[in-house]
Amino acid sequence: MSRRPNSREGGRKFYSRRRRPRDLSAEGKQIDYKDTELLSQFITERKKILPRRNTGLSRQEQRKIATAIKRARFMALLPYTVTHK
Amino acid sequence: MATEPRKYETLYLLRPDISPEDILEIQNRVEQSVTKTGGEIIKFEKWAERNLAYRIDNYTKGIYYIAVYSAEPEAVTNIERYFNLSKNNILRFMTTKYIEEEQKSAGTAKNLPPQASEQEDQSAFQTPFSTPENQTQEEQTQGGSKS
Repeated sequence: MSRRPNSREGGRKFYSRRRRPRDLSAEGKQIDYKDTELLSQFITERKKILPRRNTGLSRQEQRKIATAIKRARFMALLPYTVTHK
Repeated sequence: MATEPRKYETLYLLRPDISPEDILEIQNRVEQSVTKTGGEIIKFEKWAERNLAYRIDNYTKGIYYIAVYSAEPEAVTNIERYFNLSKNNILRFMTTKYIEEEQKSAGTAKNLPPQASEQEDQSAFQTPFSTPENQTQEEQTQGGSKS
């Protein structure tokens, strides 16, 4: 199967397979588990946490993001999965 | 060194059909727990009223309240004990170390040692999951003797 993104699947806002180096602290962003808008940039359409090779974050920031996503999930700010609604 | 009390942030989620009296009651209990141990409330506000990401006890909506305070660790145990006892009104709660506003907006946050804060963050993350289970047993016995 080709791994090329399918152009028919529209609405793929944030998820990209390619890694673009990203430095959140340089953007002046503090990682907070209540900031669902920021966190949702680092999850897939199926609400899985994106791996570091795709987020382009540093080791430290990836860990913080992952922790924040897990906290947000517990508080029902972010879903665990998409299967049940 | 550790003379200054820590700052905590507690976010709690209430069921949407809660009565205004119960909201006040919970707020008072939190404030009392903090001030009783010589702590101080820094911020107390309704954070949001929003749809939940998944259903909890068949509720699809919830009310989030946020309390920021500086207090001794025992205040946190106190609050969480109370929250565990009022499970029918409080769906979820989480206490984390409070991150100062100035640091939040500062673009020079890179100067901070990232690893030190990271470790503390993790321990804060684990507490809500590890403590309630240990506590519930205590609480049930305590709650039982009270009523």
